[in-house]
Amino acid sequence: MAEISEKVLIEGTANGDESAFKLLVHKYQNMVFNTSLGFLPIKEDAEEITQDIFVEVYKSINSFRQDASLKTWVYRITISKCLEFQRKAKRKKRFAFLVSIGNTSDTVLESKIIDHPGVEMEDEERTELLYKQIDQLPDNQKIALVLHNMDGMSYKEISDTMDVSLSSVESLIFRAKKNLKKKMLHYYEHNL
Amino acid sequence: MKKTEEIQREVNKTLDVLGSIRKVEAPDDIYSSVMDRIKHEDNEGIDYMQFVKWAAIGLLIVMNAISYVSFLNEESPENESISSTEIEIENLVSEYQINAFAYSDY
Repeated sequence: MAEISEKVLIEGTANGDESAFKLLVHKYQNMVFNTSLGFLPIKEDAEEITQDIFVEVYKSINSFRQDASLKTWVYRITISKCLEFQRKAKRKKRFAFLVSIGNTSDTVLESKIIDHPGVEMEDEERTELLYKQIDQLPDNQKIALVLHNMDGMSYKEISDTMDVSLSSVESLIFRAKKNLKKKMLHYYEHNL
Repeated sequence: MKKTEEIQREVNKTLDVLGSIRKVEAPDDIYSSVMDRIKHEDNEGIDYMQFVKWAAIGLLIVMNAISYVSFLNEESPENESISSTEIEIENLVSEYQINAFAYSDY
């Protein structure tokens, strides 16, 4: 299939052309799904958020000013939706915890932490620990780390997506790795 | 010392996992699920728009009714002319009565 220009996809989607939107979804669905899994390592959550992201793309394509590429814009929506989902999930978790305090029953349901289709079974335990520690990083460090180490994005692409300088991206990734290592050391010192 | 080395090894092994997570294919039905949601939300949108439309019409009717009532309560130029005509008639009647009374004296 010949490569269809971004302009055609944007204008077609903005004019309600479903075939243009279908092409747009097919072009970016793997990227969006894998980035979502980088933030939310549960397949069902990543699927739900991927749908949310494309609904948002469809609704707000008219407000896309094209000062960045379509790919960058879709990445930005993806990141913002994933962080929003994480915040909501944390609120739910806190609420469930408060409810469980008043609950005398011992059977408090533990929600799944990881169900990532790209993780080998023998790595699941380590991946779960990794995601828990990444989740505790500040948002900007978390974004830079996920985009670089999981999505394989270059510093330049990250700088465009996050709208920060290249040196800021370097610094964010350096600090993210340093903090992650510190957290891991702390964990293994107490759990080995 | 041995424990420190062991910790370091575990940390490195776990950090290595970060680079070993495979990329996967998105589910095939993403597009159809997205379109279902968009169409469903559009339908909800139409209902909401209908509600807003009827609420606006209702508000317009009530506002017109209020302004009509206040218009009736105001003293319009016609009301003034009617009342002055009434006064004139009253004056004429009184004059007629006086004259009639005076005439009756004769």
